Amino acid sequence: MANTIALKHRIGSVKNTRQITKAMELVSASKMRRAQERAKLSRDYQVAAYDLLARLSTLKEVEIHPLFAKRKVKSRLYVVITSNSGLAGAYNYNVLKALTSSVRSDRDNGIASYVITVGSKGAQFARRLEHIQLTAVYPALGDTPSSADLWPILNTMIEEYKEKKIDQASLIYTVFVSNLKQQATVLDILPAKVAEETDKPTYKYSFTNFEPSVDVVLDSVAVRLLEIQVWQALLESLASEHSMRMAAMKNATDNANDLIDDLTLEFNTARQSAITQELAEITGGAEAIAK
Amino acid sequence: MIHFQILTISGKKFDDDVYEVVLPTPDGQIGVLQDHMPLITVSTTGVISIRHEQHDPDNRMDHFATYGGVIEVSDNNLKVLVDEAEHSDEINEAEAKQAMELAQKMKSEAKDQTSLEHAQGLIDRSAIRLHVAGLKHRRQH
Repeated sequence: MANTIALKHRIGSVKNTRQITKAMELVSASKMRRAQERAKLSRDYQVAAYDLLARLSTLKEVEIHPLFAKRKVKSRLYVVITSNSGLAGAYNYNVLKALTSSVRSDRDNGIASYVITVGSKGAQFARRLEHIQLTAVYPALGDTPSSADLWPILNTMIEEYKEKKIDQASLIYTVFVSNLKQQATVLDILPAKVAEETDKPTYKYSFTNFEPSVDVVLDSVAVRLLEIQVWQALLESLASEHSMRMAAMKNATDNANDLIDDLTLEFNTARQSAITQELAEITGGAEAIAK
Repeated sequence: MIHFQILTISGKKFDDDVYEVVLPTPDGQIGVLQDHMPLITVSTTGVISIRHEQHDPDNRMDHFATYGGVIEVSDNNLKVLVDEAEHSDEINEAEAKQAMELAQKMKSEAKDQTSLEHAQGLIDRSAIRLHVAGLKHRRQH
């Protein structure tokens, strides 16, 4: 009898867990959709910013502008985008693995690594990581990030780049390829890149006026570009996080179902054998009395 | 008419053909009308005002508060890329006033240059928001 009671308790607790994982799966599904929609909204801005840059790329001032000019890389800054909470499969692990391997290859090449983390999971990891300098730590921006949240990160990045404390800046985040595929990626964002050769427009630019000066305009365009890149990375990471959490929770729910099936079978067998044994005892007792 | 778009990272805020747009730039306000010469410039914290039709009076204009970005004019297309643009109807005056008071308090308590600049930025921002919210009263529907 003790066995059946213990099994009953276990079935009950697995059912509770299943309820939670099921709820988390549904919440993640709707959050993922919202993150994807938000990412779509910034699409026009992104197209316009790249378009503008493609046109500016024909100017000779681009090559010597501080935010565009390439220099020998002696130190690199990584902006690592992770989440505050776990239970999202390999989401944080993949990003942090990419960070570790980048830092390792930097060390082999004699490049100093600086790290800015977004999300507490990244911060926890980076504090223990050797051979890096932690520049700043930000909490994850939540499900509804705003442009104001970006500025502290962008300003730090631009300032350190202009002061030549860093020679290159990269984002490490999760690309949302599809609902089933998310990939941790390293994207170089500083020095700002002009568009690929093939993207260059045929548009004549000679008579366009730049006010107050080409340099000021380039500065502003570079900042817009950084902003949209970081913004997109944040939203894609957010969508990936929720998508991976959804998958992880779906697996957990499926596992809970399997476990409940197994335990129910075990429970039924135990109950049946208890009944059989009781019957045998009763008939045995009755026969003894009849004698 | 000129085609005017306000693009922000959280979506398109305005997209229509208009008669005239007044924009804030570091050298002062500029008005852009049809057949404006190609121009790329930066926008500062200030007010973007839109006159839809040629004979619209000032009280029919639309106003947006913005905080810096890039302005591009080419081929009767005017694009403004900004972080944020808030229409006068979207701004809650009481809330903007509160933000202003908070920013002023921050400025008076600022200890170093960075926090002083940060507070001043917030004050400029709140001032523009309050200004744009005030323009709402003059509008007639």
